Amino acid sequence: MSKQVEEFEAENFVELMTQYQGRLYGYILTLSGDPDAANDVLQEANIVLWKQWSQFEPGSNFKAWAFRIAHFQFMAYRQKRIRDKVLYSDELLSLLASEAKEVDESHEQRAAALEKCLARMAPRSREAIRLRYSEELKVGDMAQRLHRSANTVYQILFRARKWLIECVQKDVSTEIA
Amino acid sequence: MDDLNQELDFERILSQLTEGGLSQSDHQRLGKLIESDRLLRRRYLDHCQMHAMLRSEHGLLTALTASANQPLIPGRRSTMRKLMSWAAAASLLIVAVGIALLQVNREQHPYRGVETAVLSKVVGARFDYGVNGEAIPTAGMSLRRGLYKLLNGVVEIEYKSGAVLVVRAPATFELVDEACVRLEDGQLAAHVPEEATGFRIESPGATVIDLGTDFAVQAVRDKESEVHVFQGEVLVDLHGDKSKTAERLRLVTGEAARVDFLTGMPSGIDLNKQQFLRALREGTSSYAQAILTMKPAVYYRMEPTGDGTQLIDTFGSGADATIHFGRENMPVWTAGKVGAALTLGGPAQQTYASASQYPQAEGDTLSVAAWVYARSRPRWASIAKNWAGGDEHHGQFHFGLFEDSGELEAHIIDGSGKEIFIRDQVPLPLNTWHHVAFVADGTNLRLYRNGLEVDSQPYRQLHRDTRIKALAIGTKLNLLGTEPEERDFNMWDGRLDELAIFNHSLSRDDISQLHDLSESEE
Repeated sequence: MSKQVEEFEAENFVELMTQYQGRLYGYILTLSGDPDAANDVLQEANIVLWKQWSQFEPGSNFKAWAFRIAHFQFMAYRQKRIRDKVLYSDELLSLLASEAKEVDESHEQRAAALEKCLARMAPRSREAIRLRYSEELKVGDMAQRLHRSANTVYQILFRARKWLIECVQKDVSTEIA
Repeated sequence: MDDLNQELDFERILSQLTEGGLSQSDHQRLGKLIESDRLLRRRYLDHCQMHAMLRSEHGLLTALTASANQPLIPGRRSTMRKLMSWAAAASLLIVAVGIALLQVNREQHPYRGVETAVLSKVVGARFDYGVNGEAIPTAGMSLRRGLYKLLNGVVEIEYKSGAVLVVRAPATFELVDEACVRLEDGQLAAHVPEEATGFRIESPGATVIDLGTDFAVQAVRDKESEVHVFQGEVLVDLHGDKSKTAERLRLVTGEAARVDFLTGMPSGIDLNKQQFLRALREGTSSYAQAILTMKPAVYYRMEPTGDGTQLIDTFGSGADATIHFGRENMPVWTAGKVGAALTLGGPAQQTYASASQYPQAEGDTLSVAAWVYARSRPRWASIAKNWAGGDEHHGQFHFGLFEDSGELEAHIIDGSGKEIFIRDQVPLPLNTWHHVAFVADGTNLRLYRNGLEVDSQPYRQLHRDTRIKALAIGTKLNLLGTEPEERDFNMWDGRLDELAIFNHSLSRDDISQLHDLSESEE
């Protein structure tokens, strides 16, 4: 492979992976229900995607390919953890995989809506989201910063996300209408 | 459980799931709830997707994150996309490094990619695995992307953009692409011209982004990185756990910082020019020009050349000296007062240099000058000597530190066989450069430090012992000139630079000029 072609290929890969990191993470998180495990599996999936990139045919469905590899990586992870109690049944995993892919179909619209919704949030909720995701504070640290109990912070965060989910759904529905 | 309680329980579980505090029993309960209830499953899906989108939006799925002070306002998406682009690139870099390391383990040799730079100069270099597996590289060969471990010597790497790196062993580095090097361990100095602005050095805890400058990085694997800026400006991205909210660090001329690998937090430190070998010079400095016009008998500039095992006599009298590596094959080239210097490790290392034949002074005059830097004052530490141990054996001169007290001293033997001895008043101050010289001018033996005369003694005639032919640098040799004198060792601990021997006398002004020249050159 010439240097130019190799660089072009690498740029393509970077661009696609940039688009899909959040989507792959969301998919794996749905299957695992564990943010730490989702992080680990995503990194392993990234390595496999990079190693198999030369086998990916340009013009074919990147999402299907990437989600399939992420799914295999999650199943391999689950197999390794089989000695721990199985948290989700095979039937549930099958349902979640199918429905998560379905939800992902509207990813672009939801991502655009999220931006607008974040701007419209109530200041207190917006501050909570900022502390949690920009500063990556844990609930305990947020509680200290906000002079609230940990339970209250859990509630603030839950409501903030719930509001965002509803806002995004409403925005996407309006756009479609 | 009634509907209200189930709803509260479901919300509690979702909330704890996102924060990573979900117990196994709650997790199993969640599984049962969402398996049996389609609406709850949809809410679970939405919750997971929202958490993922928020993480993605804030750049948390990769190594780089948004600034803590960055408000959540409309219009920031493009900024976040840029960050994500960088973040993805950083993530892929980690992936590529991981693959490279996997290949090292699997195939017993490191990954090699496309050609990315040229090995423009090589001094005594030895790689663990060179470009194509060879250990000894040659100047002019192309370097391909991949991981390199430099075991010995110094190399200069030149990029098409004009960026030049000087890497000194021991060092482990990866050539990532035409504008990026990852320094895992060791030190490198970078000269980056304007055309190559943006060149990056990735190191433990930090990425140094050049803005048109001369700088150097010292990396200690999994521990810390130091960044020293000699000229210009750099930006330092901080990578540790605690630096997610930290602003980038901006360093300008004369500034330096140490970045902790784990936390990514920077600490200001003093710039240390002596820490880094910044260039493999071939040109002539004004100090060297001045020395050459004074017609030395031998002159060792201490610049690394060839296979790195010789000190070249720049005056060309043929008295090139050989470096004898001691207990360890330590790197002997480092930053000097003028260009590079020879660094020696004292009695612990036992590295020194010697010229088996050198032109002794045949008249009654002699001068020796050098720049010296001492880390400690070993017993009878030697700068340069044409001398041998024992009362009955003397050579022409003995120049170094006195016994255990460590004052600068010089000896000669006069025509009557009497030992003439001069000594400074104070022990040689450590960890700083000194211009040192002695001059036997025909009537007086004079000692100089930093351009000032510190002692003198009269003498008549200069004795010459033709049996002692070798010149020892950093030690004293035995009578045969084959090995260091066993008694007292005389090993130098520190750096030696610009050693010149004149078979005639230099004036006080000459000595002063030499001292002032290198001060101004610095």
